[in-house]
Amino acid sequence: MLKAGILIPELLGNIGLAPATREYPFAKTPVPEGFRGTPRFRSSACLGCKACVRDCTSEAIEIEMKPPSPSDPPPEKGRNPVKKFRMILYLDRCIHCARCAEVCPKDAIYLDQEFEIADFSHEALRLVFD
Amino acid sequence: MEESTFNLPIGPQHPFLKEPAKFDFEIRGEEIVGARMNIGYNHRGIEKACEARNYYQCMYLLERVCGICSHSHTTAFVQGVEEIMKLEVPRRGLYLRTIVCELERLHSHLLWLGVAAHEVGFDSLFMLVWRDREAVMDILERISGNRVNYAINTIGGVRRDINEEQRKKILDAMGVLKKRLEHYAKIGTNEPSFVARIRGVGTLPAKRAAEMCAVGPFARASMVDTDVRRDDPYAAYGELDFKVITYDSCDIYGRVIVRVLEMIESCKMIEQLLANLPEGDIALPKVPRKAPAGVALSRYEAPRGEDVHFIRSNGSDKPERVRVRAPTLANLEAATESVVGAFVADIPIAIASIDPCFSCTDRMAIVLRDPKNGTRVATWEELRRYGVEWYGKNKGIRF
Amino acid sequence: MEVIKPLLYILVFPGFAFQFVFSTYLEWMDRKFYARMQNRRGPLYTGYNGILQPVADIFKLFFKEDIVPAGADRFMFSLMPILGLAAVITAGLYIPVWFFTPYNSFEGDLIVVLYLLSVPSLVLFLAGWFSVSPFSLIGATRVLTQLFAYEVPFFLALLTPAVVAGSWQIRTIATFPWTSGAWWAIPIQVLAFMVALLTLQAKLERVPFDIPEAETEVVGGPLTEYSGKKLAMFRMQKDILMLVGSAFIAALFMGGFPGGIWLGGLQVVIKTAIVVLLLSVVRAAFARIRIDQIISFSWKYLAPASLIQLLVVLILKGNGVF
Repeated sequence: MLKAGILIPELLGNIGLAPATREYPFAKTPVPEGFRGTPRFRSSACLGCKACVRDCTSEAIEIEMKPPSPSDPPPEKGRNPVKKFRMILYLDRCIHCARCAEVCPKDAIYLDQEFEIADFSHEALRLVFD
Repeated sequence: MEESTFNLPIGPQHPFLKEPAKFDFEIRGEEIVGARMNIGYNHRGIEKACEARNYYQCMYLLERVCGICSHSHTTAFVQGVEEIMKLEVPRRGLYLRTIVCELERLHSHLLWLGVAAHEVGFDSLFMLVWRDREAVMDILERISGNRVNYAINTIGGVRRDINEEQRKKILDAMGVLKKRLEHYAKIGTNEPSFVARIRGVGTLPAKRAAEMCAVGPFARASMVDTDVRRDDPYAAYGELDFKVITYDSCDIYGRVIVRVLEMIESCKMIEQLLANLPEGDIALPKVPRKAPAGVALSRYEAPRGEDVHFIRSNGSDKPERVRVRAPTLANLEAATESVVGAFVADIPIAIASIDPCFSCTDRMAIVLRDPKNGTRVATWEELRRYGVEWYGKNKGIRF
Repeated sequence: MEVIKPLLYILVFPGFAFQFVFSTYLEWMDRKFYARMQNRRGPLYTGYNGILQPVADIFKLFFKEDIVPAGADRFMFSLMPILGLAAVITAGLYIPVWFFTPYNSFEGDLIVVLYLLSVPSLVLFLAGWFSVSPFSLIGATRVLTQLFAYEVPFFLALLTPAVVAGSWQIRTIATFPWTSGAWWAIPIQVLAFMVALLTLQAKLERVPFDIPEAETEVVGGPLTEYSGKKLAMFRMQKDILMLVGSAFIAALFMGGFPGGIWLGGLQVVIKTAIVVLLLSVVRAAFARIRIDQIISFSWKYLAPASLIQLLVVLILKGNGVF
């Protein structure tokens, strides 16, 4: 049988409850562990295999070799100089799928918890990780 | 004396449409006597983009076909690829995949319930339902790292596991949600102003629904007993015990009932899956990057209905052809027909009752072959000029 | 300076300035209460706790571009908002606050107020008619159809206290329970009070009776093509109509606002606020019903209810109870 105003008791009861919405940006909700935020790079671990570049869905990563700098320690006798790589990340193309972090054989890429990354210019979203 | 009809164009932009689509209604007073629809406004060329990306990139690209049923498209694609590569996914991986499938069904149906309430002006129900939906979104964020576009699939299994703490939180949330859902079922069936808007509206007789190949809760509310989870089991559904909900009222009231009861069923399924979660790997350790030549047709029960993916591979690491047939495409003609004979005021709720997702639907590819010269490539300028001339000649619109 | 006082009445109190401030305060209260019932917060940041939000909305509209559709009659299109706003402000002059002059209280002013309160609906119809667009035409016809539904119960409900008091003057009707000592006149008219509340909701075009302006169906109904200053005036018209309608229902059914400046002023605020909060509860608790359902609901339930109430009051009056 239809009961008119069946929602009224709940509505009046809601007045006493704390609101379910938060006053963003003054009160922020912490994101859980494992949240896929912005990719970060550990240059010391990178091999330069470019698996991340190959598997990135939106072509957001570029890996390039850093030119040798005079402050580098000299290579050991009989061995080649250690190559160092830098990653250029186009954050406006990144879709935060974490495929780069998954496919890297040396765990040189990891995703942090940063998600408030909006900006007005493309240049500000071109991140260079040395 | 023949009363003249008045042409009411709705769309492509309209407050009730969440995505663009064009409808033309012939109305006489407040009654609709004719309806036509036109789609294609959300075409993004995803199928073509898939041909230039390898299987992993395609997976994440197909996730973004739709925001609400993103896991459907990923899973359907991955199942097809696993079929071509003849991979057997470990059982724990299948169970985790199914848990996310059912969580997605929950959040999608809750979204739909809120949107349907909003279309009939019942904003309080809209706000309360979406508040309860946040619980599901928080769980999904905890297990997969994001509220939508979960990216939890990988070829050969899933990427993330559920630990004990997450398991407990999911079970708590399911308990709370089941009580709230029963409360919403009571409200939806007892509030006279709401029932007056949805009962007897948008009727699609059972025979017609079967003839027009309607799928999903839309068809199940018209007595068509079809559900891919039961008829063609995939993932872990073969081992699950669940009911397929049908209802016999063939109108929007039935569709509300079917979706709410399906949500309660989904809660029970998640509890079952968590109770019987097998030990083992979550994914295959080594998966080939190139797929042997072959074809696969993968079916999946998305929240909106049956989602079909066709994949053809040619031995390289990129698919040759990916075809996505979304459930809304199957339901749209039936929905447009169900509106004829109703009032203008019923248009939003009748179209919204199929849970339309035009982003999923617009995958049209029409190849025009010039009989004299074969196919040719048109430049952007030529296309633009062609479009301007066509609209000027056929519709009288001058740009 | 015989011309200064009427100007002050019309522009300051109880005219435009007082009604503007009070109506925006009531809209803020309505929005906060509606939001709290739905477990959210409502306006928060403009002014203390969002109290300036309705004022900010109207001011923002004043700075927006004002477009007149190409096929519309420019003069009539621009005249409609002014006409509607003028009608409701004039009706608001007759709210029985503490002082009474020949300008704002005379025998028969209830009829004048009821007439002025039907002008906004007519104005909305004409506004939709003169902006030639399919959505506004549908909305305009719905406004008129809804007028047929609620106007009769509204008039009958407001006729009941007039019969009880035996006068058409609002001041006399409002103070009748105190001057005649018949305090039981207030609880006896509770049915007419409920009918008046629901029909005021229909006149204001708020849920569940907001089908003419249903956002999800006809974009904006008669107001689809209005923007900028004209839309700001329509919003002010709706706010002030809510104030005026609630103040009259409070005056006629809740015993008026007697007691001099301070006590009377306080009663104006509190009683009108109670009526507005009741209207908010009605707005939150129901869905929007279709136009044919509005007509059948109104003629099946509201009109008979008001007739029954009128019958009861006539019988009691005839037996000399009042």
